[in-house]
Amino acid sequence: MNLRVNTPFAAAVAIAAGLFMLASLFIPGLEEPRNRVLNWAVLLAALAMLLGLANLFTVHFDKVRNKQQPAYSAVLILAMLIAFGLTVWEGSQAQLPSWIFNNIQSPVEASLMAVLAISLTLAAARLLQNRNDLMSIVFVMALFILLVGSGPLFGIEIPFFTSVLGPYVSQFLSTGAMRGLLIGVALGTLLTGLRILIGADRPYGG
Amino acid sequence: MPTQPVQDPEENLPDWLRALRKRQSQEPSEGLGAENAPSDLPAAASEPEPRQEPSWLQEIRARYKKTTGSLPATEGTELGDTQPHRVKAADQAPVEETPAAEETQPPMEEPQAVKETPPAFEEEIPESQDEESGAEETIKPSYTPAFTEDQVPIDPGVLPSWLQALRPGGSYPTEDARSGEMLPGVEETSGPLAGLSDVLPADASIARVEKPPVYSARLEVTENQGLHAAVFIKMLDETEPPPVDEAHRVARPTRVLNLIMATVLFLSVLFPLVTQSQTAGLPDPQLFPEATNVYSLIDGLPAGAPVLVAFEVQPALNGEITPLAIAILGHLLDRQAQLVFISTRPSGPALAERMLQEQFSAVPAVATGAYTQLGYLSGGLAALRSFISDPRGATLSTMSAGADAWQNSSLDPIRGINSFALIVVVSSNAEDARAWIEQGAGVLPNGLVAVTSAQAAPLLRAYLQSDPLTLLGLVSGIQGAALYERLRAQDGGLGRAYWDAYSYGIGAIMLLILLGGLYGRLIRMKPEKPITSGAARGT
Amino acid sequence: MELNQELLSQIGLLAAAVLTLITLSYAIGDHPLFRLALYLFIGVAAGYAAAVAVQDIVLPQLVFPILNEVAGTPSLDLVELGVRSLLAVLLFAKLSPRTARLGNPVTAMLAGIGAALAIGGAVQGTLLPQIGAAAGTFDVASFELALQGGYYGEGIRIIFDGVVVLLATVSTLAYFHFGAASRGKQEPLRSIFIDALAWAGSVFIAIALAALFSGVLLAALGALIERLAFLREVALMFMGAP
Repeated sequence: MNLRVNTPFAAAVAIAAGLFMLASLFIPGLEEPRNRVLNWAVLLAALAMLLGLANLFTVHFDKVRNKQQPAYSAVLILAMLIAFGLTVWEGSQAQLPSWIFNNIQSPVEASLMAVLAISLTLAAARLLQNRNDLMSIVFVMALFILLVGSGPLFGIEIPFFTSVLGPYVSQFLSTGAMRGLLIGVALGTLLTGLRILIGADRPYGG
Repeated sequence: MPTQPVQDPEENLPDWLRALRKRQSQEPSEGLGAENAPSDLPAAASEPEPRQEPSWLQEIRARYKKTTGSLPATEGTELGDTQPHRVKAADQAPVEETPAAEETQPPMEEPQAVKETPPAFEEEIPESQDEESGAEETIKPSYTPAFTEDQVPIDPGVLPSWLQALRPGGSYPTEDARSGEMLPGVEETSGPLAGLSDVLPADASIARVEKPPVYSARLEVTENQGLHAAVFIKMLDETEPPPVDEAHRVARPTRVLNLIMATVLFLSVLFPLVTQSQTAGLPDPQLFPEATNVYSLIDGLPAGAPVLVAFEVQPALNGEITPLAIAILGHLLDRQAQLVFISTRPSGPALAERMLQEQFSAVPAVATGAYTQLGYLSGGLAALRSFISDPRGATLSTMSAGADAWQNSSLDPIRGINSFALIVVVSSNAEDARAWIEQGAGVLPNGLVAVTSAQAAPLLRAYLQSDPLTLLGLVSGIQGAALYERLRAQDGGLGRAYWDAYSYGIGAIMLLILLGGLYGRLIRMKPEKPITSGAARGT
Repeated sequence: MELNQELLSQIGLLAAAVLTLITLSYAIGDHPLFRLALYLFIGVAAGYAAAVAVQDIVLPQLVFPILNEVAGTPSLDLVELGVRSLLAVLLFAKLSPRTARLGNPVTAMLAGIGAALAIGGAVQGTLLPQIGAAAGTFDVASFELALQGGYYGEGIRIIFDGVVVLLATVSTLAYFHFGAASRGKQEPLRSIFIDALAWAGSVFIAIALAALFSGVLLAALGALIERLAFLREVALMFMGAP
C-alpha cells in the first residue's frame, strides 16, 4: 500500500498552525485552544527526543555490526541503554540515576568546557602570530583590554583598564555592536519564520 | 557546377566492367537495348540482351505476370509523367520476348555485378507483359486497376485533377533545382562510373583538388558581450595576486607546546587554590550598575514573596555558575522568599536540587522543604510560552510523580506569571535567557533579572537599555559572584575562594597569548634554511 | 534498589576524578582513553535526557491515559486522547523511510508553531525593544541636568557616548547591507556613504566578537577553576587530609 501524504497538506498544516499561534498571541479569547495546541507540541517534543535516541542507537548499532570502531560504539550503546533504563525505571531523582548524572555526565561535560580554556588561548596566540589585517588587530586589542579589564592580573590590578577602558569597551562599544547584531538576528528570525508561514521554506520534509 | 578533373574512364576500371563496356559497344543492340535505352544514353549504358537477363529478374517477371495479368496500357505514359527523365514507353517498341526465353532461364555466363538500372527494368516489365498477354491467356487481376485501356490517357505534363487537389498550396519551382551533377543525362566523367549517367557523383568532394575555403578566425563579439568581458577583466585585475608559495617556518602547535601551555595554565590556577590565597582585590560595584540593580531588587523583596527561579544551567558550566547561584539563592533565602524552581532543560531540576541540598541543607526553608520544584518543562519555546501564559495549565514533569506541584497551598496566591514578585533566570548561555526575555516581553510587567555565565553577558547587556525594558538586572560569572559577595559583605564565599585563581588564570592566559604570538612571529623572522628533499617529504 | 550510600559516594568521586583527568588530558592531544570517556558521556547524556522526557512527559501524558482508557478508568477526554495518540503514531512513522512521509504533517505543525513563536518573540522581545533602545541612545535627561549644573564636560561626554553607541549600532547593520543601485551596463557599486559605514561597522563587529570571545574564555576559565578545585578536594579526601 503506497501511503502518500502530499506536500501541500503538510504545508497547509504548518501555515495553519503558525497563523493560529500568531493570532492567539494578539487576539484575546484564544488562550484555551492555544494552550491545548501548545501541550500537544510539548508532548511531540518529548517524543521527538525519543526518536533522536532511537536514531542514535541505530547509527551506532550499525557501526558495531559493520565493525567501524565497534568498541567505542558498543560503550556508547551500553551507557545509553543503562542510563535510559535506570532513569525510566527509578526516576531521575533516584539514587542510581543521580549517581550516573553527578559522577559521569557532569564531570566529563565540565571538563570538556575546561579544556576549552586552553584551546581558546592557543587560538588567540595563533591569531596574533598569523594575521595582520585591521579586523585581527582590532580584535586582539579589544580582547586584551577586556581580559585585563575583567580583573587583576596575578593579583595586581591595573586601574586604568579595570575602571575606565574595560567598562567603556564592554558597556558602550561592544553593546552598540551587539544591539546591531541582535536587530539583524531578529530580522533574520522574522524573515525565516515568515517564509515557513507562507510555505516558501519547508524544513519538515515536504 | 564546379569543374571536375577529366579522367580516362577506362584507366582504373575493373576488368569485368571494361569487358562489359566493350561487349556493349561491339554487340548491336537488338530492340531491347536500342528500344529501351533513352536517346541520350550512351551505348555503354544500354541494357543487356534479354537472353542475358539475370535469373532473379526473370523470376520477378514471371511472378508479376502470374499475379497481375495484363498490364495497364498507359504504363509507359504514366512513367513518363512521374519521371520526366525516363524514356517514354510510347517511344519504345515492345520487347519481343519469347515465353520460352522467360521460362527457361539460361544461366548467366558472366557475372553481372551491375544491376539493371531501374528505368530499363521498369520499362521492360510492361513490354514483356504486353507480349505475354498476347501469348498466354489473360489472367484477370484481383484488384481493380486504376486505369483501363478504355480510359483516356493523361496528357504528359498535366496533372490529373485528383492529384492537383492533393497538392498543398504554394508555388513550386518549375525548374529542376538539383545540382548539376544530378541532372538527367549528365555523364559521370571520372572514377569507376565514368561514362554512366543518372548515377550519384562518385568523387564529390573527395577527389576534388581545390584550395579549401578560408574561414575567418575573427571572433564576433557583440557590444554587450564586450562590456561583460571588460567587467571580468577588471575583476581579475582587482584581485590580489596569489601569495608566493614560499617555504616558511610555522610555529605549529606541537604536543610539547600544548603541554607547556596547559601546564602553565593549570599551575597558575592551582597555585592559589592550593595556597587558598585571597589577596586579589575584589571588583568595584560602582562599575557594575546592572549587578547592583539585581542586589537592590532582591533586597527589596518582602518576606514570603514568591520568586520564580528558572534554573537553565547545563552541567558544562555548572561549576562556573555555582558560586554566583549560591550567592543569589543565599540572598533570596535570607529574604525569606518563597522559591519556585522550574527549568526547560532536562538537567536543570537535578542540578538545582543538588545545589540546594549541598549548600543550603542547613537553611530551614530547604531543610523543611519550603520550596517548590515544578520540574522540567519540555518543549522549548512552545512550552515556555505556554507556561508564561498559564503557569498552572502547563505540562510539567512533577505531574508524572502523581503529585501536582500546584497543590501546595503556599502556591495558592499564584494565579498567573505576574503573581511572582520577581523572576530570576539562572542561565549558562545567552539563548536560554533570551528565550525568557523574548517570550516574556509584554507579559512580564515586572521584568526579570538574569544570573548568567560570563559567556552570556556581552549579548544580554544590550537588553539592559531596551525600551520597553524587560531585563532589569544582570550579574555574570565568577567576577559577578565575587562582586555580589562583596555587596552582601559575605566572607568565605565560593566566589571569593575562586577569585584569586581567576585572577592568576587571566594573567596566565594573557602571558600565553603574548608569548605564543611573539614566538610564532620570531620563528618566521629567522632566516630560512634550504629545504631538503627529506624535509619536503616530511621525514 | 538502595545501595550503600557512602560506598557509592566514594566510588562516584573516584570515577568523577578519573574521568576529569582523562578529559583534561585532551589538552595534550587525542588518545583512546579520551575517546572512550567521550563516547561514555554521549551515551549517558542522551539516555538520561530521553529518559527524563519519557518519564516526565510521555508516560503521564500519553501512555498512562491510554492504559487507563483500556482498563476502563479514563483519565482524559477521549477526543483529546485520540488526537494525542494519532499525533504520536504519525511522528513515530518517521522512524521508517517508507512511512516517513506520514510524519510530515506533525513536524510541519511543530515547525509552524515554532516559527510563529519565534516571530512573536523576535518582534516583541528583541526587534522593537532594541530599536527603542537605539532611538533612546542619548540620555537627554542627564544631558540637561549636566548643562544646568554647568558640567559641560560631562554633557559632552554624554553626547559622545550616545554618538558612539548609535554609530556602533548603525554601522554594524550597514556592514551587512549588500544592496547597490544599478548603474546600467556598469557593475553595481555600493554608495561611498554605505561603504564608509560598513568599514566602521567592521571595527565595531571586531570589538563585539572580541567581547564574545573573552566571555567564553572566562567562562571556560571558571569551569577549569572548578574542576581543579574538585580534583584538589578529592585528592585531599583520599589522602586523609582534613
